[in-house]
Amino acid sequence: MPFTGLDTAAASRALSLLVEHSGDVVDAFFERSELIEVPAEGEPPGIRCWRESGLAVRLLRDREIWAVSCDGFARDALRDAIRRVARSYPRTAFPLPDLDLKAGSRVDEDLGALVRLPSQLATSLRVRRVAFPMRVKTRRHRRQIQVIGPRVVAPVEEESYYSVVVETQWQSFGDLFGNVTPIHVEPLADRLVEAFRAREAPPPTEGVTTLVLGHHAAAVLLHEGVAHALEADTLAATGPPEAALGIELASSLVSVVDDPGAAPDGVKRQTDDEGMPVVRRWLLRDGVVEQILADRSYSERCGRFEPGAGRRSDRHQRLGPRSTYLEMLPGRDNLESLIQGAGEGLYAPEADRGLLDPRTGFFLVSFPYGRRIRRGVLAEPVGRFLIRARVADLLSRVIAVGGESAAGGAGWCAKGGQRLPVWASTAPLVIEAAEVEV
Amino acid sequence: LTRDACFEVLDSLRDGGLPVVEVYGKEGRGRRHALEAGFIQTQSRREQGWAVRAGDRHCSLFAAGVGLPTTDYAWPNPDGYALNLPEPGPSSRWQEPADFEAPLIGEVEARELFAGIARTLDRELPGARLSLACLDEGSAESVLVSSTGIDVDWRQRMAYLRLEAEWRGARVEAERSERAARLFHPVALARLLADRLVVLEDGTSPDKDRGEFVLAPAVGARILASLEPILIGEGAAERARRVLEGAGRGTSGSKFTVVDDGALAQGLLTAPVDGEGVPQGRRVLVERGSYRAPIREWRFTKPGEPIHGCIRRSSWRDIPRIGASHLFIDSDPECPAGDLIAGVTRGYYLVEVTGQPRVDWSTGRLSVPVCGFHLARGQAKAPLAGAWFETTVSGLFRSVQGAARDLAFLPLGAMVGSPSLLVSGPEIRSSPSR
Repeated sequence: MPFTGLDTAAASRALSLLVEHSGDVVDAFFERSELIEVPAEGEPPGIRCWRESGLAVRLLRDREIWAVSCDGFARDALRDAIRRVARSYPRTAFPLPDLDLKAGSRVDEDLGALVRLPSQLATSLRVRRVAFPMRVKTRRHRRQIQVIGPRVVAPVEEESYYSVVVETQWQSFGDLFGNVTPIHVEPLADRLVEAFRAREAPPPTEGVTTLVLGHHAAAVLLHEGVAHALEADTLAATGPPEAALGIELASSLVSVVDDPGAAPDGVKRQTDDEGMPVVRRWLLRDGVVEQILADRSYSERCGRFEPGAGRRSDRHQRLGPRSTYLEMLPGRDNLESLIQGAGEGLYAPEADRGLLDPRTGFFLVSFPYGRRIRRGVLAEPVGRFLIRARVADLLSRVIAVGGESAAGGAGWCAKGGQRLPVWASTAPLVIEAAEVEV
Repeated sequence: LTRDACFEVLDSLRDGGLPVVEVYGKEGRGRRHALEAGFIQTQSRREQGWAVRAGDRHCSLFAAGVGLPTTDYAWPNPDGYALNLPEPGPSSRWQEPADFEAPLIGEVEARELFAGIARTLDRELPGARLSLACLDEGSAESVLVSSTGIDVDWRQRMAYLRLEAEWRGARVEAERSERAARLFHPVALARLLADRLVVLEDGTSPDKDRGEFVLAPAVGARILASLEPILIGEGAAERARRVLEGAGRGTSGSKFTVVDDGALAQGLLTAPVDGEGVPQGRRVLVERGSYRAPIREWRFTKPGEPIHGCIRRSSWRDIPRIGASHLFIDSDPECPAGDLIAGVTRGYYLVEVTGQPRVDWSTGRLSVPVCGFHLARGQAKAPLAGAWFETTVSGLFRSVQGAARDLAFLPLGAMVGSPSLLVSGPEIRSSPSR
């Protein structure tokens, strides 16, 4: 077990010393993580390994938060953290516990999948009659956490996934995988080939057009336009978060759920990063906001939100409400039918950047390349373009949702300086009258 | 204790067959006080970690962990490429600043700082609101030992404050750094926010105009940060050659001198050595408008060239990488900023950037969204907002006519600094040119 030797009962009793009021939220967060990286060719050191462990203790009282975090599991680390969160010596009905954690299980050193990926990718490209210089960096991420509160001890949560970054002369690509197999490499090779063929294509003409988004582009759009827009802390920047409930944010074709319990193997969760059970959360049902992404602080503050969406990139970072695994309910048609139905317009298979301004409600999604749609079929490639619009304006113009969902990594979310992997299962989308900029 | 543990790991890896070894240990403490979205947060951190680079002529590894460096680590098998480490350099005359020992700011003081800023802001500009305040303060001690004989330690301390304020429809952000949080002055910060809010709310921009420009330190620093691709790294000189088109050579009269100095006295990141243990010092990158050389690591210096450390590792987790530390436009200690403004017959005083500067590296075009004031006969006549300051990189190198003595640094990855600058020739526009 990752936290063998942790006396959870003693820790729980010790944390209860910090509770003075019925609404106080107290917890201890224990974390072990490992990251192995095989860098791109020619970048010493040749293999890289980070192993971390540590804990954080938190007290949330009304609108005030006191938190202490430290590296490692020193014997007095928990005791010291509890004392410092209390900001005075807590009344000691029983002694504060020492930590006696056993070392984490040794990692297997079979890094073959990481090492082989660049050559597998090169082979896949060669099969497609394409070759170009590229730098491939692969990573394996593992993380184990356990959250203990005064009353509840959450189960140990384990995450394991892979990420890859491919840098070419014209673009940088990233992807997340639950596992690295040749099957997973093929879609990445397809994306690289598409981008390669569009590398010198001129950008499309600015203006209003019909836009068809592929799976990956739709995942980024929903992450920025739905998930971030419906996070309680984003909403709180401009007013009471509960005011968003019931608002018609998108076309009735758009239904979006956040369900960390249904995420791909390796990143599936039972509880969030504050030990609360995750829930299947309908963010949009038929285009209407039904629930908000909330952690305990916003749940306690507003009283109308389910907690269970608290995330943090590591123990030193502040907890905040974030999505983990977005699911868009599929429609009927396949991608070819959607493109055919669009008639004239643009097809964007992927997006590489998104940004939401919570104060204005404007968001931006950037597409590194795309294809012109002429008479219902894909035509010549086009270069980089972007859409900048108010969330509700753009999502209300979704006129079709594809019937074929695909699950995978949506990318890295960097909100608030915390880098978190996000996952999604999305279908292609058609947006009419989208304002395209270059 | 950390040094002993570092040497123990170093010896162990050498005995295990890896002749080139470097062990880096870092220990730090920090506090964060934040007022955000209605929550007040006080967080304290204790961090202790280490990193090892080891290898030989054929392969290498990087490993990092928390706590003290330990030989009880499941080392990955070295792979890939050879690892080269620097030899110890001559010791520099660096002296540790005296204010490292002062305690970090406490919860009550931090809240009083935020309250003071909010109170003054409301007094200066009734209705204005401090919507976000985030104060980070920390100190750290580092140790670096290597198989080539490097054995150094140093300490660093810094406080970083980020503020956001709103008034009517306008919103401004400000970021400032000091050695210690107690050096932040609430009244000065509140006035800065109030000034910016008024300018943004009431300012206008001409469609297109020319004149003389005084760039406040915040504007000069952000422009300099946007030029990092031609100032740092191996490809920088080639990029500079393309955008400067020969204009970067021998431009007499320009006061545009750019320096990087990791050991800058009073600099917030000052340290005797860089992240690989190479002594740091003053390196001139651009001299009076003439491009000299980019920041270049010791591995690529030519024989006879002075070697100054430029490898950054902001945390023990980071792979050491080339970068600037205190990158700044040189100031003129004899020239008060007021003299630059007073000397402008007709022009603009640009006090802040309102978005990211854009550089088109294919054409050398530089566009910076700015706000400030219209100037006439050395006096501010009207606020300026929604404007774009436009020039070319080569034009900027040529056209800096004066630099004041008010050098100030902003935390922009590295500490990037500029004094007030007098620039003639660029344009001001209401929208960026295509």
